[in-house]
Amino acid sequence: MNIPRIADVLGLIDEDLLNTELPKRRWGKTAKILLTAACVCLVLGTVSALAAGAGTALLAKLRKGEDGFESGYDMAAQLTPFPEEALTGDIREVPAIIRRQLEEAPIWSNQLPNTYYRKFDTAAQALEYVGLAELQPIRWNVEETWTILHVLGGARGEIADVSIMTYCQKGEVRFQTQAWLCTENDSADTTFSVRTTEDVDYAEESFTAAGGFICHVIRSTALESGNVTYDGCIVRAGILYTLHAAYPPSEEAQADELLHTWANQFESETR
Amino acid sequence: MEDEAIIELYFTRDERALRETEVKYGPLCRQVANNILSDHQDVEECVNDVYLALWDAIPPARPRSLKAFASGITRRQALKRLRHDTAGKRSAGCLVPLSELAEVLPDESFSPEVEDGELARLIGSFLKKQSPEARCVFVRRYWYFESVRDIAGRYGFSESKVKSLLFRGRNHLRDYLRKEGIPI
Repeated sequence: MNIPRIADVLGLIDEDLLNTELPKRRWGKTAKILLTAACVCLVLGTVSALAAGAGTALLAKLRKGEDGFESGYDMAAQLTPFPEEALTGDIREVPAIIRRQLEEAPIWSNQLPNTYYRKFDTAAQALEYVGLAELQPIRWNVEETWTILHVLGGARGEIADVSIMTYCQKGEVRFQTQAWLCTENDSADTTFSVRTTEDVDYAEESFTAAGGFICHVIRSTALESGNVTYDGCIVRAGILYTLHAAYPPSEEAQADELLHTWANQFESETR
Repeated sequence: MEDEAIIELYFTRDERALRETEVKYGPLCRQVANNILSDHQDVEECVNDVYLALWDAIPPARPRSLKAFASGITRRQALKRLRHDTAGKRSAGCLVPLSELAEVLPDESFSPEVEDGELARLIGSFLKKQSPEARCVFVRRYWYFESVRDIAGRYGFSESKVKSLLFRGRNHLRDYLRKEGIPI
């Protein structure tokens, strides 16, 4: 739907909805501490990975129908914002591009005006384009299909989030690696959600990789296709890295070997 | 002054109605306009247009909520001005939230028969079924065009909580509309 029509449609919603308000809240220090303590109690069963230094925590799992909607899970990741100047590659051209998009993109266009996509042949090219020393390259013997760089900009074109996703395949295991970082222009505490239209359950586990990092893993039961999936998550130097794989159960050994090979790439903190 | 008293001033064509509206709802109207228009002069002109529109509309209109009525007129005036704005004065304030919603609302090319009023009724019905938190965050973002940071500050939430509520709200809205037979 185009943007002017969305604005018009929303303008027609029942005005009673505009009058419902939550009380404004400003937490005092004590309240913050109590709230934090309460939250810790509530999610203690699932945040052990975060407590142990994984940098990610499973917030919620949903089964299809429970919430009236899809299966999935929500994950919190503690990123460390980088100064925008730390991105020293050609990505520095992006704020001007986004500013131009915001100024020139037709208001009726469905294209998001504050995003920038770029396709690369290899992950290495994308890392060079970003030019952030802390970004961890993944070197392994798999065939990369392509890499997509996605930059989310703010209202003045400033870079807020950067993600680099590489699509790969090895045998019958299809997988994607992703590096996700934020700058000072965005919030460091990030939540991301995984959803599927199918009815699957998720199980959580973790292991310590060679570099000492906790790899937080969420595995799904089989999809209708018969494939199972996992998501591996590691936070290193304030950047979230994920590995998503889908594979037939018969390929579990190879898929797990890939997970460990990927996780063992991460070197000690340099930041 | 209570809304009813201000509305009575409009009905008696007493120009104090405008002054009282300015005192009570001027900051709100200015904020709504400012979320859509980036130029200070545009905002001021827009708010003046709002007072004129209120003067013309009341009577015969007798709004149940002067706040919602004035906000709605401000929003429409600001969007109208935005559509005629030059590119250089355009603000991303409302483009970004509306772009977020574009993906979960029906595409005209697939569902040209869906009327705006029907869609608005369904969105309203959906919002009434949501938790107060989810509903208020949704309305603040997509009706008032407030930034995630401002919404977080308003309600004492973390920015990630606001993002998460919006993300889930959009997905739930898409699924709700599908269940109601709207092709998306």
